[in-house]
Amino acid sequence: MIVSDFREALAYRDFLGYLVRQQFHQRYHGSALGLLWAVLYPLLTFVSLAFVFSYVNNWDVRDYGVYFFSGYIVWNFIANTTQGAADAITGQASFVTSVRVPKLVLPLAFAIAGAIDFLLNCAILAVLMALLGARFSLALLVTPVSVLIICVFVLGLSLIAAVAQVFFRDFKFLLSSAFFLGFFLSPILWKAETAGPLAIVAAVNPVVPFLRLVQWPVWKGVVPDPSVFGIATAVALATLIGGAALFSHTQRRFYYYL
Amino acid sequence: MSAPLLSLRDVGLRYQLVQDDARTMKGRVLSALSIRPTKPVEFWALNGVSLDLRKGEVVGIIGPNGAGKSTLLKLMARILEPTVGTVAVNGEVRPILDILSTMNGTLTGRQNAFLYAAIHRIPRERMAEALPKIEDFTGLGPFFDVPVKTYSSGMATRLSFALATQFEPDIVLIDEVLAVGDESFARKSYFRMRKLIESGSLVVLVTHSLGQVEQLCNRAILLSGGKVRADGMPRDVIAAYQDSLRVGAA
Repeated sequence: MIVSDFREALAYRDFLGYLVRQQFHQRYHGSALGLLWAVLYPLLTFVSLAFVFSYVNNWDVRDYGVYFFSGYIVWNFIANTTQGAADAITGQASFVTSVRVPKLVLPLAFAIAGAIDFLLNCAILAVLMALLGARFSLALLVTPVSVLIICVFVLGLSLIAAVAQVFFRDFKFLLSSAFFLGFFLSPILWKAETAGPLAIVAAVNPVVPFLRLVQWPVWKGVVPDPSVFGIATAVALATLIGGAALFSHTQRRFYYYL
Repeated sequence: MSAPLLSLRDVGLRYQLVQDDARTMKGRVLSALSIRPTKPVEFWALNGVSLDLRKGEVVGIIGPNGAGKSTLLKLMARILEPTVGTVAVNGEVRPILDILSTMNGTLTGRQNAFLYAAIHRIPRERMAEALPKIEDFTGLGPFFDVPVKTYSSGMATRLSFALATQFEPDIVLIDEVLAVGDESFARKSYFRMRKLIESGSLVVLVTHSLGQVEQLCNRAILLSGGKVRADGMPRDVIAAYQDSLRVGAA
């Protein structure tokens, strides 16, 4: 059932393409700088946060900047996409109540648009690293695998968020509170190795392996431990399978809750 | 006799009326504490419906408000799944139910035509080829390249009717749209309907206009309380409907 749902969704490629384009269109349409904001906004957060927190942490701004940004883009991909996907069904109810399209296409489009944004941010990171004179190590060759694992995780979270919001309209607010807290409880602004008691938080935080998949090759220049890959892959697959099963199981009831 | 294009077997649909409270944290908490239960109200919108609809039939579905007419159409369009029974669809279904709500107001009529094609899996090339004919049929002129949000409801209906009937699908489902549009468009859409019927499409029409049923349809179904009460020649079914109304009024 889950597999046939995905196969049906891919048969609606044109519609999926429309929904993905629509994401970018809605976000930047009508603004004078348009898509340029997709580059400017992350740059602005990078510059401000890198300067403030390298000073607070007493850490070299160039080294800190690369560390911070490599975790920050992964976090943003996970948090922004999941929060956006919470509206995938409730915000596009007519695609459930007025026509027959595979419902899976709706959250899938959010995940794909989020992944495109993420890849754009990866490119920005590469440019920043070059500008800051950071080291490009051979360990970077594993990052495509990292990206793939993170995408699987995000797709799973997107499916869960889309379903949860249909049946529970407070979900979005809970989610944004959780992600706000989660940002500070994850080693993005701070480093787990020097965080004292916070290191315990980092040890049990399920998002940390996904951060490490990018932080380590980019900032440390080392390939993450196989255990990091193993845990991240297991968490990602469990999330996707769980999310897809939840979606398949509940989608017939969406109609009545919209 | 040819195999039916649409076949419903003992179809029942239990409709859930979900209260707003059931979707909020406050409602869930109150419900969990059994202070204010939020169990959805359920009722059978359709019950024991069996129908075979064939090529060339023009079926008018009539009945009072809340009889289950639109629900039946949504089942045929496979938007809703039956709770019990089976709905077998043997061809390409084109519902003219609620096209307007899936249009994107910020896109032009032309762009919305491609969105329509994407939703209904009509290949882009086929839509591009048909576009001049659609544009012509809508009679929208320069408005065809203007965002749909600026359209009047009549203009939008013309666009959706043109899109849904252009490709001569096997099955056309219509919910109360023929009455919209000005005199000249009403005539045009009437001829388009006739053409569809002659091309052998199955047309299912939900309407309150009994005149339209008598004029267009060669079969009528009376639905009431989620059940089929009469099925046959439009004249007979309309008479049965009018009788039931008279009894109800007395």
